[in-house]
Amino acid sequence: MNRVRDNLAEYVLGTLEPSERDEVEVHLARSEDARAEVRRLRESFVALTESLPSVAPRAEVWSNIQAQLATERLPTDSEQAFDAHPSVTVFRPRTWPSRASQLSWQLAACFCLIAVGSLFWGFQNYRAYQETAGEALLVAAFLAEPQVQKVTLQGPDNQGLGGVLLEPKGRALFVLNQAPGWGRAYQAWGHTSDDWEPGSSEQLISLEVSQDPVFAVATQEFAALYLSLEPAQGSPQPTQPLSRISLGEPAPTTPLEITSPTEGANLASDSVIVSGSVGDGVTDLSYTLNGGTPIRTSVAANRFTFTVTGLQKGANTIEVTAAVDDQQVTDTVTVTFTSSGTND
Amino acid sequence: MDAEAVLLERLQKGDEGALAELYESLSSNVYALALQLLRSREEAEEVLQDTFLKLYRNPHGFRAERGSARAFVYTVARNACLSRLRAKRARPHKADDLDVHDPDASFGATSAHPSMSVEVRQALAQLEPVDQQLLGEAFFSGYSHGELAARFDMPLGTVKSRVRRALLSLQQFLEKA
Repeated sequence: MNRVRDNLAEYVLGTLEPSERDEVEVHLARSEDARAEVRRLRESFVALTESLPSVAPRAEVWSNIQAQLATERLPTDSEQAFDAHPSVTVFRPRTWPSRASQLSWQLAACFCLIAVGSLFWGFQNYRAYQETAGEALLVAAFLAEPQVQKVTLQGPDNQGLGGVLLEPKGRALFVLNQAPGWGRAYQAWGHTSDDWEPGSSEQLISLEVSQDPVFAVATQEFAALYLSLEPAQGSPQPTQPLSRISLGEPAPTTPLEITSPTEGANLASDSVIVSGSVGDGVTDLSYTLNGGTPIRTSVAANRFTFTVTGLQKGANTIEVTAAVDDQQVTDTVTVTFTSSGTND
Repeated sequence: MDAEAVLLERLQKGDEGALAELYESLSSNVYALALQLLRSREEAEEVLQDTFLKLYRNPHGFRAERGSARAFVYTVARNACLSRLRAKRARPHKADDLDVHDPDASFGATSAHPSMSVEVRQALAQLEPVDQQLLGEAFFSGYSHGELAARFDMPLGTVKSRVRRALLSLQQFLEKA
């Protein structure tokens, strides 16, 4: 570990190669001695910085900062609107959005969901996003948590969006591949169930509007996080959904379990997102709707998510089947589609 | 908790007034650091602006167990400078038209921490001359250890050990001062 220790000074000075910085950050997460040395090295770093004759910047710089901040603030009425709904608020069901929008979200749900597990994301993937020390420290802080989960995100067209670090203390760090672009922002949302869809009668809770590709949100009260792309000031509800993240349970002890929707759920649309978990060793599975043709779907890191469309009015039975150790295991859930009813 | 850490904590809670206070407290040092590394008034102002915008957007990156709030702010600024230097793929030449020590330069205030400068100079004087050079070029010019090894025709491991030792010695001296 001497090699890593010898890199602590250059880590503080900011000139390490990315792979070496990764090594140092992993070491720092494990070693209090190393963290103590970094604190000492940073004291010298501060002293050297402050040994330079300080130079007052032109007043225009602060004016520019204020002007930029003014463009980034959420409108006051939106803030008040969010503050007024600290918990999920249920409204009358509204009509579904356009078919294209609906399909977009369903594809996102199908493809982008969850791939939990440290094997899916090497440290170097994070490094590419760490433009600033603040972001680097933020990522390192999450990586330092022993129970942190790493979740990859894919968008509606199956493109890689980046990932999320989930901390058991109830925080999540979005680490996205790229900035949202001029005049745009990422918006993170929370909800108390992981089967929310555009057009649902329930409203998502806005957690963060960020023009940076790395940002943290609190997750304690939610069952799922959602990510969308919005105008720079954010939106009251998602307009361009990108992905969702179930803050689900750990891998089950049972070989197959449907966790959403709940048994007997009443649905206001003819489609539903089904998610759940499977035991180790299951790589794919299939599902049927009302005993119809089996449709294969994939499993990632002991979890699955797919969208079932074409629900009939009334009761519908969805059966999920997986092969485990040469044995077929199944789980079923029955939901009711009531076209003019209310969500449960 | 130091004053800047309190300001960062307020910023984490959404208190925008804390950003103004933080700027008031640290902008002169951040600007001086950027000028030193980039040797360009325009680029230094851009880094200064970017640094405080990033602090506003992402104040949660600060963790007290990894160093002081000032170290965090200076690190954000320094990394922004180093990114620019890497992008240009060239070490800046000393600017002919800019001398931050020139009293006639229209930069306004002089050092807010003159005693600190003396202390640091004294601390640096305790180091071996070669360590002073290595640390100076690493810190004030932004050279990587690999670049220093080439410039000084010295094994990389030796550079790493010497710079680390120099920084730790500096800290020990300042602690006793």
